[in-house]
Amino acid sequence: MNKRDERKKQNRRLLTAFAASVLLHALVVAGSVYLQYVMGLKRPWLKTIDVTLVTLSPSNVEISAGPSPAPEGLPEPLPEPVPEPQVPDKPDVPVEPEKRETAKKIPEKTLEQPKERKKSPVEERLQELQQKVEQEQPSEFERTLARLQQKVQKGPPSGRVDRGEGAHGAPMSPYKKRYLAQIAMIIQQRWSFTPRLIREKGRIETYVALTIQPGGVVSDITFHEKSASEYFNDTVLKAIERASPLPPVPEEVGGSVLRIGLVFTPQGIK
Amino acid sequence: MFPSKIGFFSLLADTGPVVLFVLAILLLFSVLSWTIIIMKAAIIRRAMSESRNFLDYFFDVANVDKVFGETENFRNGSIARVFRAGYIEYRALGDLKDTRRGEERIARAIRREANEETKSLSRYVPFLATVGNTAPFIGLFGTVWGIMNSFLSIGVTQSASLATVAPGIAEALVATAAGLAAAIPSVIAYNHFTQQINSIERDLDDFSGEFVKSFVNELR
Repeated sequence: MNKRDERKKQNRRLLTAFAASVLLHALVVAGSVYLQYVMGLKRPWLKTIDVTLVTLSPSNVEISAGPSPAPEGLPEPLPEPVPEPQVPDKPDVPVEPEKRETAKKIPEKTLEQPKERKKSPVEERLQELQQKVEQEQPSEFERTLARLQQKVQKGPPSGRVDRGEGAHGAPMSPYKKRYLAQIAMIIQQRWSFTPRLIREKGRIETYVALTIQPGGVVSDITFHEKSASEYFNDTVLKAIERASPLPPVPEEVGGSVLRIGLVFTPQGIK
Repeated sequence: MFPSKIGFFSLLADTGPVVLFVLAILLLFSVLSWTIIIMKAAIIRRAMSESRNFLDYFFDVANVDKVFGETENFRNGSIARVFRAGYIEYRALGDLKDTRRGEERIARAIRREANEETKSLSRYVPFLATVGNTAPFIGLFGTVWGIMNSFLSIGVTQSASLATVAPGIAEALVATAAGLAAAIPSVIAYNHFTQQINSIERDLDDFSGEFVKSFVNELR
């Protein structure tokens, strides 16, 4: 009887100790969750892990981005309905194919220039403009700009509006286009991901809206539509975070807070 | 701030089944070893303090009947329990006049109880040694598995970017950390408890002779 009582007592002690142990572990887990998510200690290394042993060169992405058709019926982030008011940019459009050929053909062009000048003043003017543009902008930026301009020319239906701009449907100024292209290029450069890591099948597209403060700081990043791949979404978010702060919003664009939208696909930013 | 979710717990969500299994085993080991640590710490502390108090009382009072009456207050003291076993045997002798046989029986009863007490005190303690020895290796297994996976993913993606390599290595390190977290307290507790149990055992050896002598004196 005495022994049985003692055994019972020991079992009770064991159970109490077990409960205390479970409680202790639960407290440790809860404490670390609290430290990680609430106290903001979750990502102390975010800015330091900015190293990739192999990076995707933006030019590669650019080339693959070219042939991919823009998705019809989906809201475009950058384009606005701009049918005509591109008077200063009009000469750029026929020039674009030449721009894509980049520096390789520059010597040929310089050789051909005297002949062309004799032919017509319009062509002469075109080449002048082209030279100006080439002097002003770096080649990668130019390509991104060209791509964006092409898209604008193809044009979304006239009824569509820029989701970032609201519903006023105003034509996009060339300054704004340039600024948007610059932003897209910066984010593209900061974007590092490997397409082979995307296991999910189907269309991978992420629509992101973000606010650019006048100083260039990015805030209020929201996913309007996430892709099926969490990895892809995460790399997109990290690319935007790394790109912040962006260049300040130019005075010509308004110099105020700017809300824009971007479409990320494995082929690049659209 | 930016709403990206990167951290220890989101890392766990992406781990493979093998690493999760390893972590589950380590968690179980940790819970069990802490159960033993909490239980044994209370039992051994009480056994030592009550033994010490009982010995003070035993040397103050010469009468074994009086001492036995007081052992009720030292039920958790190992030495008091051994004395009780000796006293019960002494009482069972009744009218036995053969002092030598009586002494033998009392000594045997005391030795038996001392052994029982040592066994009871060291029950479950070897498990702490097992955890201390095996948990780092189990964690290491998870580490090796995670690193194997990360190298495989380098092979599959043909990319050595940190984004490809880091998750696997982080998984691996989580397993190692969990193994060490389970093992370190277990090893410390094991060493502490064995040292204290050895001390109680030595006390039992030392005072068993004293008890036998006191009962034999009563017999004469």
